[in-house]
Amino acid sequence: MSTPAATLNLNGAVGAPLTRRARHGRWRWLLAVARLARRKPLGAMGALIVVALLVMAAFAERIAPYGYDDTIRGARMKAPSAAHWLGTDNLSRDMWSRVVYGARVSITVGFLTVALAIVLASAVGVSSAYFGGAWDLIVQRVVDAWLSFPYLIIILSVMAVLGPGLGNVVISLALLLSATNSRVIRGATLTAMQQTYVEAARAMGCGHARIILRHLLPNVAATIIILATIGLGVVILAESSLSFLGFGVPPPHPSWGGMLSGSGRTYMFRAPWMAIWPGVAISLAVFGFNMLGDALRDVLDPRLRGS
Amino acid sequence: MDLTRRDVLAAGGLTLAAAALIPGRARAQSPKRGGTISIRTWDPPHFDPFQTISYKTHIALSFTHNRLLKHKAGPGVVPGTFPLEGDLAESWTQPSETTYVFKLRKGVRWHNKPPVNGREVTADDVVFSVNHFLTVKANANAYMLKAVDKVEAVDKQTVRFTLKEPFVWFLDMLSNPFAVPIVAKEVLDKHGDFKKVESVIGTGPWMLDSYRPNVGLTYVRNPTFYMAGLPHIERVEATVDEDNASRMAAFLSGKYDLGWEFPGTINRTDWVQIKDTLKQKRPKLQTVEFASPVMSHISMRTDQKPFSDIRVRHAMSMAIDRQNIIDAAYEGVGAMNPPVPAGLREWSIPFDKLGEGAKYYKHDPAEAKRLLAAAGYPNGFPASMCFTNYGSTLLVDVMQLVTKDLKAVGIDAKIDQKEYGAYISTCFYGKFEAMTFGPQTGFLEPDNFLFGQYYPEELKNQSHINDPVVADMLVRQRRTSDVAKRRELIYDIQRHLAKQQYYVQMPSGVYVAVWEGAVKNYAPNMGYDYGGRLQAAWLER
Repeated sequence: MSTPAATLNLNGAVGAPLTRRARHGRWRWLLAVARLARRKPLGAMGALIVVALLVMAAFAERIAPYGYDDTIRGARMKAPSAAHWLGTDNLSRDMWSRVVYGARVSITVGFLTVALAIVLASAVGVSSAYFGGAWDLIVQRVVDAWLSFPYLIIILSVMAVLGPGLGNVVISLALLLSATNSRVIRGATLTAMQQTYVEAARAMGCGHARIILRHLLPNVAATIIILATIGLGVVILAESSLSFLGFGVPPPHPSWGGMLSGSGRTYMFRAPWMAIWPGVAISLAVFGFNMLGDALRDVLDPRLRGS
Repeated sequence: MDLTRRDVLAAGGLTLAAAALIPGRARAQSPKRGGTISIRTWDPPHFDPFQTISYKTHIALSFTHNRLLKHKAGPGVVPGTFPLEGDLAESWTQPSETTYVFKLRKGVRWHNKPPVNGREVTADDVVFSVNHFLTVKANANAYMLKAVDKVEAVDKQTVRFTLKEPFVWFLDMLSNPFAVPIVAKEVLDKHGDFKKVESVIGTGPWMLDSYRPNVGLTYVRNPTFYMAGLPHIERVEATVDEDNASRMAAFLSGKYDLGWEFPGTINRTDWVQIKDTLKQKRPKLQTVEFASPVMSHISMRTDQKPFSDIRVRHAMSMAIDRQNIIDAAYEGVGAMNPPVPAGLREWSIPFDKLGEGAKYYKHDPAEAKRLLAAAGYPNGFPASMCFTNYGSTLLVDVMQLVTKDLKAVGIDAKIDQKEYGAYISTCFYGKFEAMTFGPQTGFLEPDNFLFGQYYPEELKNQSHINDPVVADMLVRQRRTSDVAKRRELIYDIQRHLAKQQYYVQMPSGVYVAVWEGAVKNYAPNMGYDYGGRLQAAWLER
């Protein structure tokens, strides 16, 4: 076996020489991503936005030029400029820094809530449709009862029991979202269960777990992904409502929803940038997730695979 | 010069012709009957004034009900002052320190609605109303008249109050818009309480014509109102409007005749944004500015460390940059508050008379740090701060400035944010761990500010104060009927409190009261008495 020449790693350090096969394997994922980006440009853009937001959230201290509550003397409600890219707010704070830090709360709440809600909704929706009978009846009546309450009543009741805090905001929003989503997922599962491949799996003696995990879930994945991406925007905005009611993250910690519904709205005429930038951040996040979700659905949905 | 009869007649004719042709000031000042005034209002939770402290209910009833006494209203009254005058009481005397006798007006009639159908109001109605106010379980305002021992009808037109102890603020309490509205027993007998819209039957200048939940209320003129000729305005349209952008747009388009915020004002942040547009669109608007009596403060557990140390309290007060709060949150226009808010201009002590305590209201972070170090906290300390936002972005902004100022001297205030209901039932009544930050009710006399917050064991003594010097002065001011002496005593109390800093007072905003120029003989003031302030107004459209 010949000894290959030393190569440069991605970070620029001189690494151990790679075999041709290993080198090929190392770049394969990048080629796959490039291919996917070519096929799904909007999805790629969505992925880029999501990654950017995640980086913003993770490295806020390094990205933001100021702390989220640093007051800059003589800079009250300054319009966007070279010194302050997104302007300053009514308490003389740099908007760009607050938007960057705001990603933390908004992305954390958005991701965790949607993830928890989807897991719960999938478990309830799929099991309800698959097992049917008394289980379906009981579960669906509980969901009916849950959905019959105004959403704010449910959230406030849950928060009253659990107390304020970011974790409890996630739990209460997830509980709310999961009830609605479970009904949709149940419907999609019922449709999938009518398909012959499920009958075939049953005829071949597959167990419940295999049928659910191997045959049903992949076929309702498209629905689940759409629900997740739609839910994200809703959750980011709902967090702001809860923060305003005193249940979320207390000021001065910024969240996009809180910035938009708080002073952003109050000073909309005089300092529109105070509302515009958090609004743009929310829109970008929702757009990014929707596009990424759309592309993922196309890739993962067996019916759309290859389209 | 000799004037002939013909000259006199000619001159008279010319004068009359001129008066008819020139829209003179004198003519514009004569009252005009009719028209509809349009205001923004709030949807009342219900209509029972004895079972809620909600301003939404009390404002709604200010149009339909009377009290024994009321605050004078009109252009002659300086905002922030509250001279008293008879409402249903025509006159009153005080035979002794603890006895008050009221003579009722004759011929005052209830609104012509069942079950009272316009019958005459008697002393028994007043006695019933006061007793109901004092005994109904859910009345959080009952404390205002807790000095009353008994109330009795001497005859059909005379009511006598006997107090348990001298209480010089008694008349002010009776005239307060959220104290006793006079109601009829038959209404309570018929409906069980006063919550239903059908039970809105009073003797006031307007009658409730319709109530559309979450939409609005319409009042029509009471033709049998006790003051002949009043009210001049035929109809009041009160619109429930919960969205600020919608309210602002409605005001810009001329929908509301008074500023949309309480009490007929526009928030300064909104005012600054729209005042130039308003000059173009509504050039006849009138404005008056006066300091708000609503004051936020930091309360703290002064019965526990570290707040039991006076140096810590001084440090906290000196850490706060009050001018920055005014600049950042109140658009640069605000009022510094001693213990009685500056808005109560008759009772709030001017800062130049505050004496030694005045220095603790100055922003001096270096001195604050030195005081903390002297108290044994060279690196400051962490402490929780209970808070609710009351749905106000302004309050949230002020809170952020306060916590930042405290942090700058080493006090790490950790916000314990609560839902409004939870806050009111705990922190507002002193049930908190270390500190609370929030606003106080904008009372209209100093006793409510001082006695409630500083007298030992009072419910609203949030800072758990037990200071015998203050307690003694608080009781004495309640027994000092000479107004000048009482004012001096209240000034002394404020001087003492400024030195103690049991609460760290924040500045207040300055209201921008706004009204349409066509609304004549109207003047704004604090308090829920919208009806009282519009009672003698008229419209020149």
